[in-house]
Parts: sequence; structure tokens; C-alpha cells
Amino acid sequence: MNQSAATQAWDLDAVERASDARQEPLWLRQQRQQAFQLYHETPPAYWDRNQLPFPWERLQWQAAQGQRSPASMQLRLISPEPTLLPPGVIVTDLVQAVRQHPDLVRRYLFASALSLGDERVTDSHTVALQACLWQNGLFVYVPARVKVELPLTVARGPGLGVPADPHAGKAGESVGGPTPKDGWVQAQLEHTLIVLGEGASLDFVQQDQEEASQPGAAALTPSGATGGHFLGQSWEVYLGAGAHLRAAFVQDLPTWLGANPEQARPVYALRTGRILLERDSQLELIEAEMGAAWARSQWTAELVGEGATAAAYGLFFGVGSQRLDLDLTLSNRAAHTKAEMAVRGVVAGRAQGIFHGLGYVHQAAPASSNNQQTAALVLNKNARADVVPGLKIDEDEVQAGHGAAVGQVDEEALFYLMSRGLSRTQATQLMVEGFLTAWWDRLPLPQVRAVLQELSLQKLGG
Amino acid sequence: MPTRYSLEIRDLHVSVDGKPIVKGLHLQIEPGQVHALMGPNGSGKTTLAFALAGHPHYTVDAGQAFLYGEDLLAMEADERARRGLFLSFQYPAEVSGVSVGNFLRTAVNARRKQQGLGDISLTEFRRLVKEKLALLEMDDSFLRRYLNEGFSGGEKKRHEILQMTLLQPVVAILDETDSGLDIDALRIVAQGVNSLRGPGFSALLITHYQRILKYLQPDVVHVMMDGRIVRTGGPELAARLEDRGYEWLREELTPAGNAPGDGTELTGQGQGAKEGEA
Ligand SMILES: Nc1ncnc2c1ncn2[C@@H]1O[C@H](COP(=O)(O)OP(=O)(O)OP(=O)(O)O)[C@@H](O)[C@H]1O
Ligand SMILES: [Mg+2]
Repeated sequence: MNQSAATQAWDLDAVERASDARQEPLWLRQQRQQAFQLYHETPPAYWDRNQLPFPWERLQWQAAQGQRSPASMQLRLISPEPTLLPPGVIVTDLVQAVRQHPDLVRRYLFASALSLGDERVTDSHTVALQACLWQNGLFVYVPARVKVELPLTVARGPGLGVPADPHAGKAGESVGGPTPKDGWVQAQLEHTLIVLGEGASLDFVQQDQEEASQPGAAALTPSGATGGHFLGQSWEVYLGAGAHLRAAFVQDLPTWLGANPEQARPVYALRTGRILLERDSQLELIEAEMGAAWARSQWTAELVGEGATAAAYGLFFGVGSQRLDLDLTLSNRAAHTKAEMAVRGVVAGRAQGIFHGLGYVHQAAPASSNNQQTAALVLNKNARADVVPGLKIDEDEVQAGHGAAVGQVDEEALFYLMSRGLSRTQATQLMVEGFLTAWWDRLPLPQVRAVLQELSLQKLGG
Repeated sequence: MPTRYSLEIRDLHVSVDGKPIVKGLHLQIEPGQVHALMGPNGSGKTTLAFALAGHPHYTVDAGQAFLYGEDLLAMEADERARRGLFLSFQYPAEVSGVSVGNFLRTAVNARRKQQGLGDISLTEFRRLVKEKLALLEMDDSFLRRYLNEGFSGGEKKRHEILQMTLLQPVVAILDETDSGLDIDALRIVAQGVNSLRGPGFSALLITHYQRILKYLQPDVVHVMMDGRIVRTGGPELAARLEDRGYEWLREELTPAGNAPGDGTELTGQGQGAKEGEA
């Protein structure tokens, strides 16, 4: 790799070269170019300016060299067997889908993720980055009136930053290698498009998980080296009239990756999701931030059709020195829409968690409701949780409210449990379990509850 | 090292937030014995109990405590419990979202692990818990409720005794477990304690009332005032306190009227508790 390719990791030329390699149609190239413009026109979000120690300009983006990311890194369907899916249902790699289902993909891809009418959406800067650079992802399509009974489970195979790339090292290059060069951030960007036709229904579970490639990597502290691994993920979800989606997105990436402690670099995860709900459609969404050294998840559901309902269940669970940022917006844009948010946060060690919630009832949304309920538990005096609920109401005839609480672990209760022989870890696990019980009980997908319960026990060392 | 005592406390000093509360306390309990500890409000009984159980806010400034010869104070609270020390709380904590059943099973397994046993099977646990619930005349639905949340005063106390019967401690400290109980509940709680009695079980019963002592018949009664045990006697000492309050004892303890009497024995600072036959 020559020097200039590295230092110009992602200019428009690089984007073009990547499109060449993927043989992308003109409309998609234009879309990427527009996103490139938008990225540079929009201001970085508050968290980008203030919180993220992230050298954006030094994104070491594989596709810039015209390569596709290794197959092992890509999202794939774990279950059910594709043959068990009802006829007409599509679950495929997004790059393939652009070729195989061009009209369908073109109709939806980034059609409303960047702006709704004239209105620019939250974090459009981030979405623009994704729209410009996405390398792979999934396309999920359920035709009108088709109900998919078996839950779709997708996962990303091991490979984030792991040398699975056959091209790596061939020309003495380190692209795709295990360790980003010092000061560089090795990036992987995915986009997933989910479309449910009128009256369709689907359960969708995405778990982003990976074994740390280094035993005990979770316990590593930065070696002073800069750079890292970046996973950018975006989703667009369209729910046709009367469609019903239950979806869970579980982020449990390792906090550090590297072949050895000296090479360990932090993992950054930046996730944005946009959901559009047509008349009488229903959404139940779970977003769980458990992993990565630094993570932000931002979801916005736009209830644009009358009678649409959305329930969002958010969780952030930080330990060690994790920084987790969760941001959920539920927006009523039509009459008789119902939105509801329940969020829990747990932080231990020196972790920091922040939650921003926004319930936005627009003027065109009479007889609507928007409620939020949030609680965070701080297990340690060096850990920190901030909870910022928000309501914006431009309509008179609505029912809306929010409640938020940040609490410390109750020392008397902890002693009570330990006085019965439970170790501090066991006692803490039990109290966290107790804190989350009411939230677990509301979760729509039982299998996700089991996964999250197990992960939360593991995070507290059991 | 073999020892005569199930619980032995030597010259214990405990402070809370820098304030000395227990000020040189001696106590010796022999295996199989039940001792009652009485004393006016604020004399330091709960402080003693918490210090023995390992509450982090209670600082032991000096002294020693042994559970069957093992140095209690060197252990964390959870280890003390796993070794067989049990404290029935005067005010049990509430833990929302944690079911009684789940908690009890975790606690039983922690104690079993210490004893070199594997986890209890679900069937065996159900059988055991049903038996103890019946003993304490408690409903099965208890197991599904959250730990102490919304329990009445009496239910909390029964629940403490339920835990004790399941964990089978070698030494139990019952801090006013009898307070706030109606007559039936008192009998039932006493039944729970009596079910454990035997050579391998001793108890320190902190109480203000003689009525529980009628059911439990203590071997020894101690009176604690201002952080020390000031008198040790037999059950008749409890009867006398109930009749006459603590004033007479205070008067006797002031230098002017300092005379032993009534078959009770004054135990001063630095001396052992009742020296007597087992
Ligand atoms: N956490 C604490 N902070 C400050 N003072 C305390 C604390 N715990 C106990 N004390 C004080 O220590 C003294 C002894 O309290 P303790 O609870 O041990 O008394 P007690 O003998 O159990 O009384 P009672 O019969 O009312 O239960 C009291 O003056 C009490 O106010
Ligand atoms: Mg007390």
C-alpha cells in the first residue's frame, strides 16, 4: 500500500473505487456521493465533538482499497434455514440485493433515513457517513400479508479486525490485518434494510458478539497506542400499514481487540437506526448496549401513519472503563399514535453510561400518547450514569409523561444478602437481576431476555 | 484448636462513624446453649450483632471474636455466614425484584459449598422449603414474593427464621426477632428456633421481653448497658427486669449502691462473663 492511499483513506476517489469493485449501479454511486456531501455539510453531533476520542480523519477503511470485507465479517442468517422461510421472503446480503432486486432496494435504500420531508433527522452526520461508506449488510424483505413464524436470527461472524482477509499481507500491507496501524482506526461499516409489506409480520434478532481474540482482552487497559477498531452500523426499517415487527439488537462486542496486549486497541461501535411506521403498524424494539469500549446507539422511530404504535426497550450495561451512549427518539406524527419507552442502565467499575430519550408529539398528532420510564443503577462510586429524558409536545390533546431515576446500590441490602453467605459478586448479581426484573418482564422476545440475562450475569463476573 | 465455646467474644470495642458504642464486651457461649441479651434502647445490642456479622459500617477498634475457635473478625461477612453464623435482623432489608425462592436457593447453595456439598437439586430444595414453611405456618406463595418487599413486620420476622432453619447455622444471633409478633407468631417463631436446638446449635437472643424466654428457656441472661455487659444471671434476671425495669440495676451499678444481690452476678469490665457449669 502506498503512503497516499493510507493518508487519503476515504476521499471520493476511494468511494468510487469501492463502488467499482462492487460493480455498483449509477444510482447507488450518486447516492454515495450525495451522502459524502451531506457528511461534510452537517455538523458533527454533540457526542462526536465532546466525547469520542476518535480520529475520524484517520479511518482505515478497507473498501478504500477496493476490497470487500472478508465474508466471515459479514452479517449472516443463523436461523431458520432459508428453505423454511415463506415464499417471497428475501434475506440476503445487501450488495447482492442491489444486483438481484434493484428496484426494490432502490425504492427504500436511504429513502427516509437522512431526512423526512424537509426535516433533517437526528445524527444525520452519522447516517451520511454510513450511506457513503457502507460495505455490506443485509436486505430483509417480507411481502404484504406474509407472516414469518420463525424468528430470523442474524449475527456477524468473528472477524472484526481479525486477519481473515485473504488479501491481507499479500503485498506486505496491513489492511485488514489484526492490528490497525498506530493512530489509525480500522473500520467496518454495515447497513441493513428491513422492509415489511402491508400486514406482514416478523421477529428479528441481531446479535453482534465476538469472542475476544485475546484471552482476558476485556480486562486490558490501553497501552498508550492510539487507533482502534470501528464498527459502524445502520438500519432502516419500513413497516407498511398494519405490519408488525418485533426486533432486538444486542451489541456485545469485545472492548479490546488485538493479537497480544501490546497490540490491543479499543473497539468503537456506532449504531443508528431509523424506523418508519405506516398506519396501524406495530413496533416492539429492544436495543441492548453491552459491549465495546466506546459505543453509541441512536434509534428514531417515526410514527407517520394513524394508529401506529411503538414500544422501545433500551438497556445499557457498562463495566470496566466502557463508555456507553444510548439515544432513543419516538416521534408521533399522526393521530392516535402510541409511543412508549422503557430504559434501564447499569454501570459498574469506572464505566459511564448516558441515556437521552426524546418523546416528540408533533402538531399533526392529536389523541396520541408518549410515555417514557427510565432508571439506572450505579454499582460503584467511580461509575457514572446520566439519564436525560425529554418530551417535546406541539399538540394539545395528548397524554405524555416521563419518569427517570438514578440510584446507587443499596448497601444495607447488599450486606443483608452477604450475611446469608452470598459473595459480593453473587449479591450484586442478584440485586442487578432484581433491578432489571420488571424490565425483563416487559420484553417482547423471550429468547432475547434469556440472552441478556446471561450476558448481564457474565458482565458482573459470574 | 479445640475450644469450649461456640461463640467467644473478648474485650470487643466497636464504633460507628467514629463514635464508640460497644466498649469492652466479653461473652462466652458454649455449644448447645441459648443466651439472652437484654438492655435498654441504645445500649449497643444491635451494634454488637452487626459487628459480629461483619457489617462494613461497624468498625471493630479492639478485641477478638471466635466462632468455634476461628477468628471471626478476619472474615468477610459472607464467609462468616458460610461458616455457620446467622443474624436474624431487627430490620431486614427489602430487595425489590429478587424472589424469596431464588434468594433462598442461592443462599442454601452458598452454605452447602462451604460444607463441601454440591448444589441442592430443585426437587430436594422444594421438599426442604415446603417442610420449613409448614413448620413456620407460612404459605407457599411466599416464595414468589420479592425479598421482604411489602412484608408485614411479623412476616419479615418469620421469613428470617425460615432462612435460619434452611441454613442450619451453628450460632444464631436473633436481634429482637420476637418484637412486634402476636402470640401465635411468637409461638411459631419459638418453634422454629427450638427445631434447631441441640448440641450443634447455640443462640444469642437479643430481646426486651420475657415472654419469648418462656418458650425458649435461656441458659444464661445478660444485661447490656452503655456498651458493656453489666450483669449476668439466670432466667430470673429477665423476670426481675421485666417487673422492675433497668433503674434498680443502674442504681446498683453506681459506685454508691454497688452491691451484688438477688443471685445475680455483677460482671465488670475486663472480667469474663458468668463462670459456671455448663
Ligand atoms: N449507623 C449509625 N450511625 C450513628 N449512630 C448509630 C448507628 N448505629 C447505631 N448508632 C448509635 O449507637 C447506639 C446503639 O445503637 P444500637 O442500635 O446498637 O442499640 P440497641 O441496643 O440495639 O437499641 P434498641 O434496643 O433500641 O434496638 C445508639 O445511640 C445509636 O444511635
Ligand atoms: Mg437494636
